[in-house]
Amino acid sequence: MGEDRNSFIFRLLLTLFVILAINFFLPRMMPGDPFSTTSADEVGEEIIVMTEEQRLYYMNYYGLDRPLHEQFLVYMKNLMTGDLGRSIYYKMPVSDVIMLHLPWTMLIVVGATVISTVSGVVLGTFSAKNRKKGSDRIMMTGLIAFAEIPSFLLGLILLLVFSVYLRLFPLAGAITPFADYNGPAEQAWDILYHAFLPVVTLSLSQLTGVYLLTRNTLITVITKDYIRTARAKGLGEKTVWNRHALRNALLPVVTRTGFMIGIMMGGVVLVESVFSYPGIGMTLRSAVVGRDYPLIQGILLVIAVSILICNLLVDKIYGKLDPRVVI
Amino acid sequence: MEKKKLLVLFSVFLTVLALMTAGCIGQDSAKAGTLAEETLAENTAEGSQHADVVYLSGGDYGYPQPFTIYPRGPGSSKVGMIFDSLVERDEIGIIPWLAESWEVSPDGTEYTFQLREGIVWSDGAPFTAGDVKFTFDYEQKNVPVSGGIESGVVDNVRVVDSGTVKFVLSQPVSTFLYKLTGFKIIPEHIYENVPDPVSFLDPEAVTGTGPFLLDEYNKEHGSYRFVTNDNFWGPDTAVKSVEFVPVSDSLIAFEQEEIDFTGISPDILDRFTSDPDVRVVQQPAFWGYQFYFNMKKCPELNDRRIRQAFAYAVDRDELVEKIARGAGKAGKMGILSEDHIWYNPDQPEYGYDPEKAGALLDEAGWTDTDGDGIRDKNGEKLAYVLSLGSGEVRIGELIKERLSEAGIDVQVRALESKSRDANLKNGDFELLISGFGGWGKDADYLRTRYCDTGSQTGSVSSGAAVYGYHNDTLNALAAQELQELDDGKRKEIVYEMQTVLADDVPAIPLYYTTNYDAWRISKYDGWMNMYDHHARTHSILSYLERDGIAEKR
Repeated sequence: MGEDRNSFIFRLLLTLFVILAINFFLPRMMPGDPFSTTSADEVGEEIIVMTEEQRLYYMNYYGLDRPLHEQFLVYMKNLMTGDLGRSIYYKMPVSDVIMLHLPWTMLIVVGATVISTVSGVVLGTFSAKNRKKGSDRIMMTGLIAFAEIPSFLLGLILLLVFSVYLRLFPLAGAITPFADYNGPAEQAWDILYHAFLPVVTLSLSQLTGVYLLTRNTLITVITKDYIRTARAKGLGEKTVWNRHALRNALLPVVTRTGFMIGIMMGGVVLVESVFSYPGIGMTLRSAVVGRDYPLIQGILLVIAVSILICNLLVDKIYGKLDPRVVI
Repeated sequence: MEKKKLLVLFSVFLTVLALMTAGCIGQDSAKAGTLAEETLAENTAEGSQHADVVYLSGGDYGYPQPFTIYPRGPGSSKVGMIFDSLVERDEIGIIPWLAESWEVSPDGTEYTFQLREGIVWSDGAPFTAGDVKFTFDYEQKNVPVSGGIESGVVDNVRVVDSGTVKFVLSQPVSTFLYKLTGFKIIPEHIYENVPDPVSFLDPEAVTGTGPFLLDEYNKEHGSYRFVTNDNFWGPDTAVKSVEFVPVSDSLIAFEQEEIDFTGISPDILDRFTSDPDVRVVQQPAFWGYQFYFNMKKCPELNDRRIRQAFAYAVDRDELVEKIARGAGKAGKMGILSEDHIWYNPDQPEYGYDPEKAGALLDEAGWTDTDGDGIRDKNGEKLAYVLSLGSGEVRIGELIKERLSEAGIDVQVRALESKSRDANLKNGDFELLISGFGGWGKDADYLRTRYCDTGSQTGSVSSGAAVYGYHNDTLNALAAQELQELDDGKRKEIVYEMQTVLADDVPAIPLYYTTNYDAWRISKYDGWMNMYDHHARTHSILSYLERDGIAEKR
């Protein structure tokens, strides 16, 4: 057991080291550097083109003119003390930038995960119960077709319908600018009000996956012998479905939810940019565009660590759901 | 029950989707044709010259002090709301600002500025000549993001008395006053204790002498609120407070009256031109695309006839028509755009003329000997890779088509923006397109961009030395231009430089954009353009009463 534990920790550390190394070297292998921008990305955009003198000054200021291995050692050393470095673009500590933006992403990702998982399971169960009936077929075709709409397009549609035409929801942002709140309840309401469309967009883009998985697993599970046994025992349909079938069918759904967080980080970039939502996805995008190495490293590290944590959590939940699995 | 709901929901989405796509396509094709010919009917209504609050499209561009703004986006104009420079720009030229007057020594190396009396920093401390000297010395060690004076221009700055400051230049530099328009003075009593201004994000960091105070800045949401600085020495603010609020789409935000000013695309012009409360005006042509030749990598491009052939073969009017939807002006081979104050209208012209292009290529010995449609010479084909940013693919495709008609083969290679910039900087390309602003700036950029003389006033990473362009006449003219202190004479030299450039075609300005600005005149109608810049919201005079020092000229 002790040996197992050691090797587990060793593997974790090795994974972490590989992630850190990739995070460090990959951004630096991209062409360009943070200070040599000469072209604007869109018509009319203003950029400050630095002189060679300025560029060299800043390369030196951020230590980017030192050999790569030296920079890596400094990075690792600082990391040991919890220092993620300083963002080149935002001119503030990377940890501060992340702490400003990560909560917003967490809000919509967690919100979307909960909503899409719950509704996906409910709809999937409904579909499985009504298998091969009209309602199941329509729902399945509809949701599959729906899943083909890219999340940014979906977001754009929701934005146009609910914000532009119906004016029910805000056009952009996570809070009302310069708002003065009368108490936390009003503030919470404002935040939820702004988060609603992004969360719905993200949920809808994940819903079909959960739905299909639940439906298909349930259909497989329901033909198993133990279900027949349960029915033979005279258990009610409700108990058979909820206690016997669904509980078993949920295992892959839980696994998927764990992975989904990682997948969603990709989708969240697009959704955040449609709604101008100040999350980490938008920040990562601008960090990559601006070659802000310390910030790219920091954000990727946070994403990687949260995926690792999710996987660990999934393993734990797995153990609870299925006593046969020993962690 | 659930089934029904879902069905309804789904069909609603499908309908909406269908309706919207149909609507978009319909609008687009209907209007595109008529746009270019349509001239804007001017809105003659009187607008409001005062406002309590003006709302503008926000976004995070950094903490508005000279060292912490971001290099991308309008950060420096936000610095300009708080910090002043010795001289400022209005719609015609350079005007006195913190400096009331100045004298230039006959040899052009000493500038003595008389500072305005009674100016105080927003915290009440008096502004003196010491602050000016301090700013210069401080920025020698700590380079600001924009507005710094590059090394080699100024030898030293001396405080003559508390109201007089003298800049001693290493040699005469004709653009010195122009450079000072961006040189924002920072308070000595605050920054003297700041060893690293890049991480200086305290409230005192934004203590300036300018017309506005930073009341609130929210980095994560990208919002700024500027309010009137009651200690400001100059004209009253016409806009009492300016709020930059985050928007996802500035046009929609404008329609919903969340912001009072927006840029609009030519395709939706009609929606606003009939609105009596909206003024729609085109921007001056100070943002443009440049087409680069790499003469180092492709030696045959050193033959000017080939470059001239490119200028004849590329249909720049077509680019304006099809890509800019009419909101642009075709590039001039003299480089400066027609809206530039020193544009030379009398320069060699290159209209779209494929036959002339062909004749020039024939003359240079490039003919299609094997009949494959691509010209060749000594077994080598006239074929190039054209690198560009992913947003410029359509420009590239049109150019490819036109050039192929002239017998030049072009492969379009779309790159991520920074990769393209890296290739440009390292000279790792054959042909390349890059878009950028600043085409209205002092004409000295003809020197920094197209002369390969290693001058002491800072090198540009994308300059002529990188792509191997060399022209003795141009270099000599540029050296003169840089030292000529008489504006009239200098203008003549710049005119001549344009003629030389237009004759030699070291690069092709494809087109300069003239986007449309729209604003609600009942909210605020005091917007103006600086003579060298395309964006009205970037000018500090746009927010001030136009009287006294800031009087409209």
